[in-house]
Amino acid sequence: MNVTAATARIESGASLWSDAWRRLRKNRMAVVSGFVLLVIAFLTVSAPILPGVSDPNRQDLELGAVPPGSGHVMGTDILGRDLLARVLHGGRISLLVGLVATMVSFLIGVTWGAVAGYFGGRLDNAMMRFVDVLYSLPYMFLVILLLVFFSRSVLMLFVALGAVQWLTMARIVRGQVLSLKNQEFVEAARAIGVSHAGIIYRHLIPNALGPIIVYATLTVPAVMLQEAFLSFLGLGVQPPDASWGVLVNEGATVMGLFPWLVIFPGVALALTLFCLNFLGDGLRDALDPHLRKD
Amino acid sequence: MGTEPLLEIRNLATVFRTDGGVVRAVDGVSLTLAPGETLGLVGESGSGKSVTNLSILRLIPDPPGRIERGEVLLRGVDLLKLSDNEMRKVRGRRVAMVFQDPMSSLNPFLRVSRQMTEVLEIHEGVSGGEARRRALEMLTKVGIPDPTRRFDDHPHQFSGGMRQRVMIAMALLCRPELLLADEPTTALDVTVQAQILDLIRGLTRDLGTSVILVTHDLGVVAGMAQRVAVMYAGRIVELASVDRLFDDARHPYTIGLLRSLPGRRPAGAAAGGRLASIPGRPPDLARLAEGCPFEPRCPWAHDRCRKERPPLRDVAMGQQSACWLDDPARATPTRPHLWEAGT
Repeated sequence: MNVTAATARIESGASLWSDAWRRLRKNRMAVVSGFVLLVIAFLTVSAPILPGVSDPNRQDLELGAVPPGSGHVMGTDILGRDLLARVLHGGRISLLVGLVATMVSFLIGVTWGAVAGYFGGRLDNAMMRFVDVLYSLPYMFLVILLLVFFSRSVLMLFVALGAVQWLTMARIVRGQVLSLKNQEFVEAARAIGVSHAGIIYRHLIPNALGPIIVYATLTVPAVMLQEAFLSFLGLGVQPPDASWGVLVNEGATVMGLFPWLVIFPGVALALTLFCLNFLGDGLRDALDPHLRKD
Repeated sequence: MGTEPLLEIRNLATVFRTDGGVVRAVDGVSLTLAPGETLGLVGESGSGKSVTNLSILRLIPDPPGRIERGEVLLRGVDLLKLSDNEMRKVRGRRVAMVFQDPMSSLNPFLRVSRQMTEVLEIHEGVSGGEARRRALEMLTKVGIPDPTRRFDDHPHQFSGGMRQRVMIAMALLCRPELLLADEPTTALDVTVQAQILDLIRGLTRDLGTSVILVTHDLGVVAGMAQRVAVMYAGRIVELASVDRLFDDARHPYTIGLLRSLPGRRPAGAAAGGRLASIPGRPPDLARLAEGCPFEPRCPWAHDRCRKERPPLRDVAMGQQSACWLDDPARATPTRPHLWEAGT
């Protein structure tokens, strides 16, 4: 262990992150997953300027639904729209919803849980009862309420999904912080004069990152599926725009006749979720110095 | 002493609220510490020595603990009256602490270099290369072999003794005036203990740092401290210079402690055999009786001990004791000789 650690050491005060990066690169599954995700992200992000797939809404009613083949790599849907273009453009929305909503839930949840757990006492009680109250409400009802009251924009969709996803994160982080804050190194940090914020952000949260990251990577797919559900209700992405969830839903209704309409968006969604899970696993291992396998 | 004391604790009381009642962990402790002086704080588990230390830095977890009354004057300024922000500037810079268990007192997530530079960043505003240079210098001083190579390691790559060296380096980085060492060697191998104690003694002498050394090991005190405070049930029962304490301990509890040391036997006592021990158990601090808390275990207890609590008073030059046997009002001293009873 020491030999590899010594040879791989970075001389200039390497941070936690460069260290984690070094360990992550050794994990083949995580690297491949990260690469696939990057490719997916690149393709979806640059879809509007790529030749042939720049317009997902161009219809060709005479053509109708044709199976994959030359001209249309993934075939076309009933309205003659190119499926590859629709999958790529749909991925933009799906990925964005997944990432932004997870980020929102991450920021709120981690801060909320860490503050509640660290300060404890009455503050903890009040903060966690608030979480309990939100928990007891059907979260979809909340999202729908938020979407109906405010504008039905994609941005609002991010915020609404993120705002109901942070509850579990807050509980996870609070539990971690509770078990960490009585450890001696936290007392030692206090004894050298570290501020409350410093203890929470430098000493407590990094030590809780493992479960946080795993849960965050699970949140991404969950949010993407919820987005699909909302779109199905007509509250999410509005036609003619489409996300992967919408495409799968549409394809499922005509699955018997035109199977490719559900297969391709489904594969895209599944592939992304798989990669996110592998990457999450790799990140957890890389971020925990105890769990190193070398 | 003559010089102005660095630290003066007056009538400090720290209590913990538990389900079993209010535990008076520290109950009216007063002591002074001169600049550069090392004071040993001795007593068995639960006698309040660690809580005294934590109270000085105001690190008592509240709730359930609370500093009920008293003053902790650091060069005349009462630490208990400082705001949280002002207190934070005292911690680590003017008063530093070394904890008992080096295995758990370093953040497992941060490199040693980062944990050390954090202290400098907080208190002296130095960061980057300058902070790293100073931290590395300190790491060299505490005797980490090959410090340049070990500097960016994680704590789990260090042994217990090495981690305690790192803790000491962190504690002394800002040249504090006072070092609170809470059983710094208890968790370490015997062979490493002496090295760590030597290190603390050498470095604090060089820096002119005063030390309060909490320990239950009188042998450690003899080698490190100039004065000793013996604590029992949250109070100081005897306070004396090391020489006085070992030559002529007055309090029956101190006498009992000394008797239980191996290798310190009076000429007449049989060699070998079992070590002496103090009968009974420490009292429940939530249910202290009126009299002397040591009374139930004291071989020389009499009526007065059950009714009144003896105050801490001068019994000799530089020696104070809290025992009715030393009551100046008594006509004839009836205090038995150190080794008389029950050998």
